[in-house]
Amino acid sequence: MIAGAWSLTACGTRHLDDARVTAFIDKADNAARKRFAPGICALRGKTFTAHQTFHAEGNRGEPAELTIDRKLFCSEAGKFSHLEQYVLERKSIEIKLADDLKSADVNAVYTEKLPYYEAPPTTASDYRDVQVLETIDHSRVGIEGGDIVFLSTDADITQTLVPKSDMPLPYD
Amino acid sequence: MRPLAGPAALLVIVVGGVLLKYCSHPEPRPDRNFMAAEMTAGDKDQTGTCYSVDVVLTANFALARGAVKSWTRLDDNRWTYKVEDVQSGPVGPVQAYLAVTLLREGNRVEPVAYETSDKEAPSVEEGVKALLQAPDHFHSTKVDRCRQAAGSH
Repeated sequence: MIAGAWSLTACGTRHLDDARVTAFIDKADNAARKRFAPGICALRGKTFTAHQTFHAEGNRGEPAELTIDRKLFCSEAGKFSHLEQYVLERKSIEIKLADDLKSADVNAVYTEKLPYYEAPPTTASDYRDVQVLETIDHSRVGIEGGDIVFLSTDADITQTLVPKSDMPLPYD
Repeated sequence: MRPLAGPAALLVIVVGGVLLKYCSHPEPRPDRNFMAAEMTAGDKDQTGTCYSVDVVLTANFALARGAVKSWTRLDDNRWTYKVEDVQSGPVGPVQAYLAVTLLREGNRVEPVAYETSDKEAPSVEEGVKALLQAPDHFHSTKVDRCRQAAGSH
């Protein structure tokens, strides 16, 4: 029985290819669309780090820089789950596999649309503008315990604000 | 095979429990005596605050939704408590944190370092003063020394 259990765990991914990485990124994008924090968090490796450079609309100074570890990232994913309106579109994806096929660099471009809350809202509709985030995302993925996971993510995000009357967002 | 199904399931549960106990790494945390010790005000005289470490931290951070709280052990008597969060800054999301290092001296715990993500971090004494506002506001339970003193008046 124990040998059987061991053989089951040993059946995980041992090397990466384009199809597996693409399927993994699709899964990650869908987890983001569902905004289910445990699902988002489970796709991040134990030593995952995220760095982002945020160019806010109207900011002519230095962009906001943020570097967080897995624990804080997962906590932020929990806040994300409170959003009732969120649209994520992937514009492009490019995968570069490492020579040993144990990791891959993924460059992707995304557009996200979500409410821009100027203050903590009382209801989910308490916002005037939709923020459109154009994200150039560089991620490294690898294998951990037989599963594909994100090892790190570096995102360059540009924010544009659009009045919500001009860009109605669907609830889901 | 059926008579073996029950014992086999029991074996799996027992082995799984043992593996979980010895293979998991629970978050480090000071012992109960450390948490129950009275925190001092972070001043030179080590004035008592009448509140335990546990009460001060709970009153301030128990309801901090979405914040990540962690302990780092420096040695048996010296621990750093850190609260981290991502907040909306004027030009985008920024990391905000507060870290206080606590040193056990006898039956008291002295704050010896206080750091924040603010550009102008307060002194240890100022930082502890800010931390004491929450337990004062909530009328939190004081340590025995202060309760006895209050009762004797």
